[in-house]
Amino acid sequence: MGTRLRVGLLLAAVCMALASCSPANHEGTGSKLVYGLTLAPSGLDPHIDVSSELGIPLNSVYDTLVFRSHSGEYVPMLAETWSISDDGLRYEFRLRQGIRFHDGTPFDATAVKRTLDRIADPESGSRRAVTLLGPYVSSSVRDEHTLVVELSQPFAPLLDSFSQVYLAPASPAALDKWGAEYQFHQVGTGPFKLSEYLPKDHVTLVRYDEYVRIPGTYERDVLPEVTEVEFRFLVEPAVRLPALESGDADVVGEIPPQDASRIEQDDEIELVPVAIPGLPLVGFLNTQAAPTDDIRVRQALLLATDRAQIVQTVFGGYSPVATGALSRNHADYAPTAGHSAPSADIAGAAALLDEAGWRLGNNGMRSREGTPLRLRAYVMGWGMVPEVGQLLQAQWKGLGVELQMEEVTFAAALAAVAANEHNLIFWSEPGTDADLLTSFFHSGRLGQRNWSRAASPDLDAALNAAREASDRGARRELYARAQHLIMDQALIIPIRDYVNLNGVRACVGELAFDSRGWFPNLNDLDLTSSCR
Amino acid sequence: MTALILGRRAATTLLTVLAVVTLVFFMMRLLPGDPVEAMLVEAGAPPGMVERWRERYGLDQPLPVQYAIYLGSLAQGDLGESILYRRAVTSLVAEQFPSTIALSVTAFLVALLLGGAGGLAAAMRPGSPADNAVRLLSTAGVSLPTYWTGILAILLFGATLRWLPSGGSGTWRHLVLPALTLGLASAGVIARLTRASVLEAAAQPHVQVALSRGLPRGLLITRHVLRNAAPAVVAMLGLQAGFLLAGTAITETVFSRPGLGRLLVEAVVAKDYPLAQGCIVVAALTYTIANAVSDTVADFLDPRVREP
Repeated sequence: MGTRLRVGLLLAAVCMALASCSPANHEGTGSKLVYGLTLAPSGLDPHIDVSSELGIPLNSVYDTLVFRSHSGEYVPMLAETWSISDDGLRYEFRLRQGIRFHDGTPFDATAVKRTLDRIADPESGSRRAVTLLGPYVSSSVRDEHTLVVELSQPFAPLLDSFSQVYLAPASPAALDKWGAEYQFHQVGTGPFKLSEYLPKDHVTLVRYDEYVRIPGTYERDVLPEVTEVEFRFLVEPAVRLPALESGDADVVGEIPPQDASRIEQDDEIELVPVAIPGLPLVGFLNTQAAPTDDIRVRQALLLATDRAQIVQTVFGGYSPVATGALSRNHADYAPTAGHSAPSADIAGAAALLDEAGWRLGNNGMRSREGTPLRLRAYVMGWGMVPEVGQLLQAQWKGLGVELQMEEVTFAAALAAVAANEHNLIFWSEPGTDADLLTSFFHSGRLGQRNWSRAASPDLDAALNAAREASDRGARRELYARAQHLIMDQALIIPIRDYVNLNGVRACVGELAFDSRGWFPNLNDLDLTSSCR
Repeated sequence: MTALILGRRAATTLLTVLAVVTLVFFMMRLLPGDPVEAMLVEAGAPPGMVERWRERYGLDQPLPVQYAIYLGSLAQGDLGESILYRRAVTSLVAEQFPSTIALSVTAFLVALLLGGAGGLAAAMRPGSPADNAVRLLSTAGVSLPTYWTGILAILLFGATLRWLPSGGSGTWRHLVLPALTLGLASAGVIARLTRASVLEAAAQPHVQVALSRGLPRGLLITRHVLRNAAPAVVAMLGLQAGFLLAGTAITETVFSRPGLGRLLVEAVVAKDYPLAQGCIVVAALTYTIANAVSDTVADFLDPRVREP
């Protein structure tokens, strides 16, 4: 027995030694990159599908009419110049000449019109792109390189929309050839070509060697170092870091905060946190269901929430504490509108609840005329929201408030909203144009994403005016007013500004992201060494 | 007799699938929420689109009408169009199913090999260290969730030792860890049943008589013990096929593999009725067929059924 044990141990030692001596499986030549995506989108067609994830590969496949710089300016890309009529109903784009799609089709006004018509066609089933087009009526080709877009109402976010991959011009020849199967055969004008898309498995891009760089957009004026990028779907959060550690992936987004600290101790992997502008993670408080229909209750909950503790405990301190309806890094963020004290003011909250008639009982919980102070929250399982809910439960219990939490699917949460059964629902939404506030706080969106059931004429007026205002300064002021109104009415409990924690292997070098924070700049990447 | 057995099995298979389809059809609709609304609200789409989409997928029709239309299409082999993917369910299933079959068949072989050999080895020397080891390992295999063993396998063989890829698909190397993870759970069950069946068969009086007559041990085991122990094990293998098929949902997620299991989970979460129904029809068909095959094989192995 002793001999057998010794032999076994020896064998195990030999195996371990062999394993440590064997070459790592990521060496070799070429400059292929493996990029881990965190969600396998249901569809990859930018004109039709919704996911932010699809833009991570596709932003490199398409150039857009307009480019959004890191300073938030809209600069020319495929459109050389543009003008907007005084009434804001007509946009004229003068398009760049000499550009070709990856399949050789010339890029011109007809091609852009074809893309816009496809998006606007109800039969195509577009969801996000059609929303970005707003009150679009039609587009017409003035000459080969001039396109005119007509709107039924002024729509100031349109330039921001045209800077997004969802409205990127696609090759009309490919659209005609592939029809509903276009998502598998996409053809744009960007620095990389779509080579293969196998749903739930991978998306592969290869470098487009004829790419014409447009000054003011990408920086690198020679061909990208990376020749091939394979995107893989790492849906399960627990396997993202192991994929990086094993060298199976070179870049992975949305690393769970609990794994981020492990990366910081690893010389081979760098943690790259990228702040995403938009609506932070917020809890929407229902203004039309008791007890949150009382503004004093909503204000008390805001005061009783120790957001700094939540950010530290759940998000490992990697996210800034959110203060209002827009994240701090948003171009239209109004610093004075927020609820700036990140720690709790339990005494202030208790005073408000006392004033509202919710008295503390012997059991430590509050009630009014026999009704306990109880809230219902519906949470979806993503983005550490259940963990946030659990901390809120504990924090509010100290104030004598009971939070009942139910983890449900999004469809089930919407059913609860339709029945007005919710007091609290969490959401976060990326977006660089503050018009995203309209879809969450405008009374015209009751029954949709207006989960606070806000119906404030002042707020509606500010959002409507901002949507139509052509002057940048005026828009900014209107959105500042909207943010003030949202917080004055305590419609939301802001939790954290969204930060995407990316893990990047040392071979990749410095990976930059676009101004929206989601999409990597693969064109300008300088590899430190070959990754595989 | 043989034709009768086969006919009866085919009829049972069809009835089972019909029952499953009906149950799933109505259960999916009992869950709260509307799939179209969820998809459009998530996209921030403006009001007015929901009704148009409901019409497109026939969700504006009364439930019995939807059911009748669905059964009619199903009879023609049409599983409908996925709301989430906007593609034919048959294409989606055809795309994802091969990966699931590769995983579950490999896992099945792992389970059969490890479970069968382990169970047999344990039964040969009851109470020996080998028996104790098999019993311990099989209990562990049955008790440990695949989610946990999968992540452990990734951390050990993928991230630390770097012997095998931590996820993905495409080559046989990608299949090793998921198949072992999934197969080990099933191997535990097979080992326990094999051990029990072999011990039971070995204790039969006719085996004892043969042993006392001096029949060689090898012949005794193959002719008298294994033949009698086999039907119970084979019948249970059909059930294990179902277990493995169900287990792929978690294994595919942990190992970032494409497959029917992941597709089904996604469909249920999004309340994508046609897709969820389609996945379940295919899974139910596969399961009932596997079960019917194993039952038939077990019957033919059992002379009492074969020769009435």
